[in-house]
Amino acid sequence: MRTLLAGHPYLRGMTEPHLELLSAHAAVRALAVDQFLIRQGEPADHFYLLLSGRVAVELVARPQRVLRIETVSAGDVVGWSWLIAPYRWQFDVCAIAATRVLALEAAALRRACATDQGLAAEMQRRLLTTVSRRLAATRLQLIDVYGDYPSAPAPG
Amino acid sequence: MMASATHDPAEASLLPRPAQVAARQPETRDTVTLTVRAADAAGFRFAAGQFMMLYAFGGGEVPISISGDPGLTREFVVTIRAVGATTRRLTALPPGAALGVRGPYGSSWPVAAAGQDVVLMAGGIGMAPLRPLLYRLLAERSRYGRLFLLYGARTAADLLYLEQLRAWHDAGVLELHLTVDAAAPGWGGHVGVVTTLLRRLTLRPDATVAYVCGPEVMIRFGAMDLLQRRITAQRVFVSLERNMQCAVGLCGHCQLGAEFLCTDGPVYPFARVAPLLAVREL
Repeated sequence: MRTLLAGHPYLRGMTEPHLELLSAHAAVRALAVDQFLIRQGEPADHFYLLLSGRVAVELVARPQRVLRIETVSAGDVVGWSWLIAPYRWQFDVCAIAATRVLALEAAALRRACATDQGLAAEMQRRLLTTVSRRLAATRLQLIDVYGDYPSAPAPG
Repeated sequence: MMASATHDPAEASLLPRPAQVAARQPETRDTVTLTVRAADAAGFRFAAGQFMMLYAFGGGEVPISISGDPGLTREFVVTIRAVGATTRRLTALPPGAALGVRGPYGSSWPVAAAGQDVVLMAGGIGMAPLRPLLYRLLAERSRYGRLFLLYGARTAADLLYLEQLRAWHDAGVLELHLTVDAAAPGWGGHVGVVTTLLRRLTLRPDATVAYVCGPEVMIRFGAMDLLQRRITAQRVFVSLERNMQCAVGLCGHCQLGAEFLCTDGPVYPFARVAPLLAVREL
């Protein structure tokens, strides 16, 4: 488990004691295609590091209308609601390929962060980096970056 | 490695040559690929990344990047998105229709040195100016290391040349990564802007050359992401778009700071234009 954690890009550079602590609260889970990893509104009791496969972050806009917001692949992380009160998922996450994840127990990590300021800072820094990157990508999506060129496409 | 420019006075003429649509291939709901043949016997010589001025008789003239194989000499291929009056006229031209052409103009994609890995990042219609480079790279495929194409579009229906790109991927000569902003039912690929695909690659920063083409905002973010992956700005090449009108550096419509994109560009090392792209007023 410790080797899996140490090899994951999200945890690169983590100290040995912190990796030991995380490995005590981690487990590998496998998902089949179309299996949900996260359901909107449910308690955010884990967060997930993708080892292989691909998942989709989705939002149900209205019944029968599911918006796929982004996909997340191996080497990346899913979920940050576990660190932010009220600790409930805001989106659905569904496997769109056979997927393996490392599931880390949120409550145990929150307790550890409350007593270990170094761990808390590390987890928050990594989370903020991910949130910042995803926010930039979402902004580009929001502005419809591939939208119509001016009347004279120059060149193209 | 610097972008090269065309300085042939004959090619820089402002007089359109008569030409004819030899073939018309609809690509997406608003985009068409035309094969254009000159009415005279002179043919065409162009380099990957250059553009042509296409004149729809009585309907105006627009700059359009060449999207076909640079090995072609009797004709050239362009992919046109119908976004204005002139491009709507051009995309509606049937085989046999007459049009005027000037060019080719502008700088070209500098081809990576042997042994390098190559990353192409394309957004939307920006795939078109990169395809001639792909033809060149694939013509000498064994000279290079890994060849990645990261390509994003608004929807799956907006992706250009999909069949051809997938055939190259399936043949093992190209590692194709597609993504869309909005996934329709049935799309099993990536969702997100094209810049997010970069994280999925294992790169050798000192042995990688990158080429980026698409909307300017995508180019900025894409190039910055490449820099974050420790590829230097001298190894990143971009193709910029501005309102090119004369194509010979006279009118100034395409000026970006001191750069005339029609003659100094459109292809630049990112190191040269990065400071200009950061200036809001330009």
